[in-house]
Amino acid sequence: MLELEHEIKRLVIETLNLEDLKPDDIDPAAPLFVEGLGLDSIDALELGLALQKSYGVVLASDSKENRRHFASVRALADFVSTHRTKS
Amino acid sequence: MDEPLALEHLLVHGRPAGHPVARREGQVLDFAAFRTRAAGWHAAFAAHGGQRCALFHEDTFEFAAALLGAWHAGVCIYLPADARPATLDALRSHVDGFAGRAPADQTALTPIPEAEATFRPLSPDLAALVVYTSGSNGQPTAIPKRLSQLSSEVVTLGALFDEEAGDAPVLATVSHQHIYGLLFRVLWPLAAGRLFDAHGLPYPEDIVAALRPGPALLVASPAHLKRLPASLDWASVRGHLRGLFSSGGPLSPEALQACRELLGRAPVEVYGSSETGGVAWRRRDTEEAASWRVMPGVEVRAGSSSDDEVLTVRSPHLDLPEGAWFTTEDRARAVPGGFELLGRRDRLLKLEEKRVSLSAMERALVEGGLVREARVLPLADGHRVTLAVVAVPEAAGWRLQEAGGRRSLNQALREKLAPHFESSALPRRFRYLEAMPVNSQGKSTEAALAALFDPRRPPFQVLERAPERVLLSVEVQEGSPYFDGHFPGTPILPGVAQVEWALLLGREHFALPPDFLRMETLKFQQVIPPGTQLTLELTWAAESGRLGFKLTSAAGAHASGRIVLGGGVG
Repeated sequence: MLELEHEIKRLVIETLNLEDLKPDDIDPAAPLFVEGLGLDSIDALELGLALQKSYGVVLASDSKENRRHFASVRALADFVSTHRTKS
Repeated sequence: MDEPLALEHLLVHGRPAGHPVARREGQVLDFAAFRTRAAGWHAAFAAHGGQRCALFHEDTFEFAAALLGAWHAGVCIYLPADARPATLDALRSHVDGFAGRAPADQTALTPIPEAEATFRPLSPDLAALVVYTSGSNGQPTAIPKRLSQLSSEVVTLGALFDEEAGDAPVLATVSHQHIYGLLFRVLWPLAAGRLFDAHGLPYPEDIVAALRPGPALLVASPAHLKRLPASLDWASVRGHLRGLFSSGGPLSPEALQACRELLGRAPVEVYGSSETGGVAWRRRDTEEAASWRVMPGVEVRAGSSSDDEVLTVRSPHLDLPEGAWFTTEDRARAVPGGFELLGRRDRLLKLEEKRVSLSAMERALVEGGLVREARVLPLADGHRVTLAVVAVPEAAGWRLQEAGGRRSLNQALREKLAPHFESSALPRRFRYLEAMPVNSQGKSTEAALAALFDPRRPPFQVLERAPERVLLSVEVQEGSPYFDGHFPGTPILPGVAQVEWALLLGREHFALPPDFLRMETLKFQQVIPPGTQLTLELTWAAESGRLGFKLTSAAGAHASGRIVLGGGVG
């Protein structure tokens, strides 16, 4: 799980081109959006696409559910580990 | 003072054979030599047959002869700002040929010796020139000029300044490959019958030496005037200075002060742009904020109400449809006889459907107190456009970066902006410099700023800096595109990338000539894996054209060598 968290941190940094940030700088439990990393809704779209490409996870059409998955790196790792179709 | 000649009739009417035109290394080149050379160029252009030709030449006399020769052959001259391979390459699809300098795989036109020519008057409607300016989107924009636009501007300069300038020869720190240098150090002197120097003066020491023999006019830019060392012996030569001109960008109060103290006079500042040509001028001998005086024949409208402050221009130097006005990028207020400039117009941008004022963001950054100067620019980042900041930090800003890394300063600046801007508009990427990158015209072009975000450029800090040596700390980032495929599983920094970094960072610290000639004593002693903190020592020997580099780290020496460069500084 820790490994997957690290992988997802790298994916976030690479996908969103977050300069000056290393995986270890991201608190896995901290919110990704608004506070915390300060990401916005367009970043969420980009991130959704990247997760789909890397892990084959498909986001639900339920936006409340998605918001929960995107809450933090840890939440994303949970979601990916249970829904992934690619390894 | 001789009778001024119109550019259209310069070679037809002519001047006495022995009339001095230019000076090259102490030797005077007369009108007969000029006419002969122009005939040679005319023959070369006519034989080539193309309608559009790029022209780059280091020597201003040769450049002037080529320009007149081309015009008499009906050729439109495209003016590259420098002779870098990329600049010349970009012109390929626009021109039929290259004169003076050409891309490596083409032959440059050269004058045909002993050619004869009968020159007929030029048409004022001749498509004479295309110059380039960096547009707001960072792409160079082509600006075509008819001969009448250039010749009317020359007449205006003569009417304003001929009397005071007398027959003092023209010296210049600016390149004739830009419209300002072209007008002031080539076309105006030719029309006025005034001698000009065939070589520019890149360094302040050269200015002192060039002023020593006798009276002269100096055509300069703020980039040079703000860097006049007080240590040189200006006092013994400034009496020879009969006129001083500055254009290309705003002249700072410090530069103005330096001109008054060291050169003994305030320059004639000329306001205009590549598009508009000269619009107004002023000479701040006394008042600090003297207003701009509109040039004869030029009309301006400056807003009277607060929401209509944009300066618009109509003039014979501009090719506009009947009744049209040209809208500048500046805001101004009308005052009797002229106007006062109020700063740049707002640069507005739509980001993900939301309108953002880049100018307002720049002001907010500076008002936050952490940076002294800031430029905001849009960058394409995958699917979206995000904003990036290039800033010169104040001491407080540098302290933040030293204490907590670049990220702390980034975050602090984002926090300063957060109350005023949508969170999706907040800048994502930041570069901090000790000074804004400027070209020889003293401008920070959008292209130069955007280059700072090129992923191929490594992040670095200046450790030590001297005129001929810099010591940099360079970070080899894991994400550098140079590790892609080099090699899978065992990434090491390619040797060509090491040389490229030396050259790239060398260009940011020294005024290097455009062309790579060869390498010398190249050694690669140890591989460089991702994450290495490198020290790069660069030394520049201008006389021999050699840029030396040495890459070291805690692990010892990695690489060293010398890059030999040549060609004119554009």
